[in-house]
Amino acid sequence: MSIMGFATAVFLFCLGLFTVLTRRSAFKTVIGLMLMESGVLLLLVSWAYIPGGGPPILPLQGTGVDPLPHALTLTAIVIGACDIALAFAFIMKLERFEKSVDVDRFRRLRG
Amino acid sequence: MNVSLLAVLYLFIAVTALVAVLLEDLLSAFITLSFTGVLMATVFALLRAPDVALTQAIINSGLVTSLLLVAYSQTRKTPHPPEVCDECPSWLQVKVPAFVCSVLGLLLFRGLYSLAGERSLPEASAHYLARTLEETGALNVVGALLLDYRAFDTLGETTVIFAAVSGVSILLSGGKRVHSGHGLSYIVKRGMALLTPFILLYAASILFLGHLTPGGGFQGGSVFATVAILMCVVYGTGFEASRISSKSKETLEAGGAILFVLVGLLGIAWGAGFLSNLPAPFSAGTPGSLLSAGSMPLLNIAVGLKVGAGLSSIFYAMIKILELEDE
Amino acid sequence: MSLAVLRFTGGLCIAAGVFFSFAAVVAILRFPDVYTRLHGSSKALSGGAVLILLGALPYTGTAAGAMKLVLIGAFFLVSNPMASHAIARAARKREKEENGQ
Repeated sequence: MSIMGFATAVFLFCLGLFTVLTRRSAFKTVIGLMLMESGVLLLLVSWAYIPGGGPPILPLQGTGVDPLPHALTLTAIVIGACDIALAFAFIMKLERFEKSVDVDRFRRLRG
Repeated sequence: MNVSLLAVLYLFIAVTALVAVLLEDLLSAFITLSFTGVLMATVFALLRAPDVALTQAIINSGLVTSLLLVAYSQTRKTPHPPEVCDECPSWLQVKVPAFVCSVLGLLLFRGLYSLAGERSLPEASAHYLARTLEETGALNVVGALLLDYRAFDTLGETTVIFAAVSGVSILLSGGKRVHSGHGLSYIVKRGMALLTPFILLYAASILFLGHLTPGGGFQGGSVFATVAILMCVVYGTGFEASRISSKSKETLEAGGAILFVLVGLLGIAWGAGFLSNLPAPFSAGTPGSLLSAGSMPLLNIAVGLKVGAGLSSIFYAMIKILELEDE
Repeated sequence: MSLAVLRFTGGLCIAAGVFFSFAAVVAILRFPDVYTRLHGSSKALSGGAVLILLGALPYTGTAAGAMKLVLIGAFFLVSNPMASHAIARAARKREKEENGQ
């Protein structure tokens, strides 16, 4: 049952990692980071699901699903949005200096 | 629980993510990615996680996509780099990363395989589900976890938002906003004027009922930020900025942080510890009423101010640079 | 009895809505330029989404849930034409600019 969720989460994470490793456009790197984040979110939420459980809103009918991973996931989504915004700010700033969004060309800080 | 529906949704998530990675055109890739986000929100709702579904739909597929589009339109004049570089051998470019990723995926799946199957509630979660009403007075267990049991965590999270806003503002500083752009046509402006009160009402209901129904400060604040972005798109960039200046946005954001810390300090003053809820003199109230759950409505308002003002200032900091380029 | 009739009608509405949404997808894939695609997708999508919401009405069970569906439908009917109008205008503007004013 939850094995499908785990499989999709692992697929998303590895696809995101592959994108970060191979693509040269900085925007594609950010897309890869977003996919990796999505994989982690999906893993946490599908792990929290308990067959027959209701949503964690009181009063419960029967048992509820695990609310703790939900709280962690919520935190992760907001933090993820913030660091993606920061990544865009970096890309926009670098593009003004280098006139490119190619990560292979950002060599100014290389030792 | 409909297993086949869930399987179809998982399949579509994987396919849209793959398409978003493979598409050459960045704009189409962003739209596909936002579709992945909406599908994931649907899956979260099916997995009985309404809070997470709401946050995912508003922030990940709404706000982040609008930030993507702003950043893309800012950098569209530069040439698009080729996907793989020409000098390096192709096995190093694609085959080695693909091999590493698939081995990692197999290992991860192998590890997770033992976790699947029948699972019962851990002790802590069972405690939260059983005792939330009596210990906090709230009906929304996830909201109670965020703002009562783990409120210190949430304070740290709002600090991260503050750091991100400061970072974006510092990186994109310099240059002043030009009052250009007349916005869209008359029809869209009147339609937006018709819709705005309802969107604001929706945001307020998510914010103020966060301790009773799915939602809370993060989601409500994000909807407020969405209204600011919509106004910027529909009425032109100067409209919202001339009414709520960036200075007053800063004040609102700082006010949210100060309110959060003050509520926490009140707990210390009563000798109950930082950010304690019911042990400090907050009344639990009648369960299910608007003024219940002690300090949680106050903390929801604080987080909402912080997130709403913070995300809309990030958007405006990005727009500012965009207009300088157009001059 | 009457609930069963209502639910059957709702099922018919949902089927019609699915057909309209499918027509919208075909329109996006097959039509040649922005305007015709927009024509196909916006009309069929307004109709499709509103019909699906109408069809879901008998299955909600509570008056509050039904009211929510009606509100969502009203939001669709206001916002979808607005968005299509904005897209069409933007496309026209860009076309004019590309043709050298």
